[in-house]
Amino acid sequence: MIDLQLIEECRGGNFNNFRKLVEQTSPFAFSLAFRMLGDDDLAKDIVQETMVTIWQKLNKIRSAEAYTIWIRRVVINKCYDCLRNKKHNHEYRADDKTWLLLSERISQLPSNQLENEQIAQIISLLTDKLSPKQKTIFVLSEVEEMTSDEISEVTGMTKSTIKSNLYYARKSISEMIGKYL
Amino acid sequence: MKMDNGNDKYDKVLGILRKAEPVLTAADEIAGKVLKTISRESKHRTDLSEVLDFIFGWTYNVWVRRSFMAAAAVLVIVFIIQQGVILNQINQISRQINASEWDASAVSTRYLSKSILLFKFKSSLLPPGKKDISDKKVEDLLKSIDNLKNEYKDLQEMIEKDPELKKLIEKKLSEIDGNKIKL
Repeated sequence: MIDLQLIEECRGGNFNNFRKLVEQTSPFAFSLAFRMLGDDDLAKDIVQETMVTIWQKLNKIRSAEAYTIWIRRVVINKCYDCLRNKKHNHEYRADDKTWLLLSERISQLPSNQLENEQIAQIISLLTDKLSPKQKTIFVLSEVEEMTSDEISEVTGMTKSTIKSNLYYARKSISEMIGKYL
Repeated sequence: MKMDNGNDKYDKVLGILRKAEPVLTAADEIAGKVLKTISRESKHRTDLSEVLDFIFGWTYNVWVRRSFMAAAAVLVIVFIIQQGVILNQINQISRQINASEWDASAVSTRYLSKSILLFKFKSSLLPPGKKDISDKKVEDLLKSIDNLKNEYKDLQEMIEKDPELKKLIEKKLSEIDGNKIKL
């Protein structure tokens, strides 16, 4: 949890305090961005842009909870825009060999020892056939474990849109998991 | 890797993804870049505000603002008064125009009849484009008409004053016309 006192001190224009805030916030923001984009550099760029945006909006943030919501909202929206603008990612081709390697990694390594690249590979392979919207909803709902209310609040999508997109995402990913793993 | 059924596999993979937290390396680097961007933007904003302060800084003085407010109020009042004066003058002028139009009938009948006759002579008796009768001649004609009218008036007065003369003239006119005429 971010300290509200720290946010208030940053509002006065104190760069040192804002550095602390960035250092405290970046891991959470990076995790979310990385899970959505599956790209280390892009996720770092999103974190940077997010923190600059947060600096500009600090006056509007009145509580620590609001700060977390703001961070999440800015990261998700920037990532969603990035996904829509990004051309289809062909980095991880979902051929049988790739799936076999992935299957072995999943079975051999404990989940907390997966490296960023492996996490990105799993997410990319699973969500390869999903639209940016479906991918965003899948990551937020299934990986980040956000409720449909929270997703709706952050993304502005309706609950029915979330529900239908999540259904197709789950179906598509279940089929891929059933086929390859 | 063999798994039991589709749902179990799905849950297991999701469980792995949930537990696997992406690790941010070089957090310091990100913080440094963020602060650099912010300070650059702040400097840019400061420079802009300095320029604006230099140009418009004098407007921050309270007495300048109050003076402007007073001047604006005075201008508004002057504008309203001017509008009132202009409206008043327009009304006066329009009243004068109405009055002069109304007075037209009261203008000297002599002048009016002369003007009308002048117009009639020049426009109806003469074909357009031809000016064989000069203005002076027309005026002479009008003068003679006036004289004739005056003499007729004098004659009428004389007749009214002398009943015998009146009877004589009535008799003569009745003989000429064939009917009995009364003056």
